[in-house]
Order: sequence, then structure tokens, then C-alpha cells
Amino acid sequence: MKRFAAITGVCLSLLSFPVAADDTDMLPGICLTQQIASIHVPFNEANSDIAVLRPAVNAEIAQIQSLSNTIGVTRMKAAGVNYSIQPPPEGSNTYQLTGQVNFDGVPFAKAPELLRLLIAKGFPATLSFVEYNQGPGLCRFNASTGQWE
Amino acid sequence: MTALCLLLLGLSQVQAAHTVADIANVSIPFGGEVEQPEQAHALIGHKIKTLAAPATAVGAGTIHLQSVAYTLTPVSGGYRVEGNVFIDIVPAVRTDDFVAVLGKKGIQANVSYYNRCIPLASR
Repeated sequence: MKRFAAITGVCLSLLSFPVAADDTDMLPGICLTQQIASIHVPFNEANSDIAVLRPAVNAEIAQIQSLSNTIGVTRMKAAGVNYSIQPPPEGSNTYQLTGQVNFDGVPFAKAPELLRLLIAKGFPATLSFVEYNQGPGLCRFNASTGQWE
Repeated sequence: MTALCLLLLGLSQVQAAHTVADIANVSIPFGGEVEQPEQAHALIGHKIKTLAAPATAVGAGTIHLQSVAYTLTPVSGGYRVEGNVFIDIVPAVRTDDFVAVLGKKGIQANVSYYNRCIPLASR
């Protein structure tokens, strides 16, 4: 444990170097080392038989997970689904289901590749990231020196 | 530590709320388009860069980069990036001036003040 703390301390001190104002493009990569990626895929199903709408969504989710497996993303999970069903408009017998499924557990490094794959396969996916600064002493802008440290 | 916090909270009764808070959390929205998802970091870095001059101009103390949250949506020829950069300003006292300078540059910012001292009743 002590060795881990020492190594972490050395790593943090190595990272704590001034960053010139022109090099701020580097800051997200240096500081925001805890990264969470999620994929969101909207869906839209229509059928005269309301009973087949929800299974159709499940089939899409399974297809997306199967696609993700092909690029080595194996721990992605459908974290939540929200949807609404519109009754048939007058003169029609077609029910419409619209909604979105959210996937968690997407590896940060693989997320762009997965997004490209899903779009190429016809899923209008959106990717969202949250990236945190894990070292509270890192990436501070000192207004008196005019430098990121 | 608790005694110190209670003392500071007591003193806070006679001061304006924004001068008591020792940290200001500021979120700055950003947006743009990139050809590839991997280029989003450059866009964020550019946004962060725009904060340096106003912070220096008003002597804003220290800015701590806390986090970013953003979404990539496919558009024709690339991806639309929308999100927020979250920073803490310590001490918070120059934050209003900092946000005013950002506003003059056309940069929107949302501010919340908070105090590191936590009253016992809320623990």
C-alpha cells in the first residue's frame, strides 16, 4: 500500500508541471483521467400489433450489443430504456413506439470506434462523456503567474 | 476543524453571502463541430484556453479544472460537440468580476458558490 502511495505521489508530481498557454489543448488529456462514456440510441417502431413493439426494441438492443462485441466491447450494458407508445391516429391502425436506450460500461478508448460502427450500421447513436480531474492538485491556473500548473 | 468552521459560519452572519463562500463553481458551456470524436479534446482545450486571460485580468486567484461533460452527435461530415467545462475558483471573491469579463467576451457562465465548512446538523 505504501509503495502504491509512493508511486502515485511520484506520478502526480511528474504531471504537475507548468503548461504554456499555447499548449492548453493538452490539458484535458493530462488532467481528466477518470472518464465515463455512455452510448444513447433512439428507436422508433411502428406496428398494428402493439404486442410486437417492445420485443422489437429488445431485438435492437441485442443487435447493438452483438455489434459491440465484434470490436471487443464486451462489458457494455443496457442501463435503461425509456419509451412512449402513441395510439393509432384516426384512419390508421398503426401504433408507434418511440424512445431511447442508454448503454453504460463503454470503454473510453473504444467509444469513438463504437459510435462510428453503430452509425455505419444505421443506428443514429449519440455518445456522451464525463471526464473528471482525479488529482485535486493538478491543472490549476494560477492567475498571478498566468500559468497552468 | 469543526470549531474553526463554526467560527467562520458565525462570522458569516455579518458578511454578504458571496464573500463568505470560499469556492465558486463555474460551468462554461461549449460547442462546435469536429470531423472525428477524438478531436473533441482539442475543442475543450481551446475553451479552457479562453479562460486564462480573463482570470489574469481580474486576479481571480486559482482556477481548478474539475471536469467536463459533453455529447457527440453525428452531423453531416462529422460530429456536433456540446457540453460544459466545470471549474472551481479559489478563493471565490473575484468570481463575479471574472464572470463579468467572460460575459463581455460573449462567453456564458453559470456560477454557484459554496463553503467548505459543513454545519454539524447537515452531517
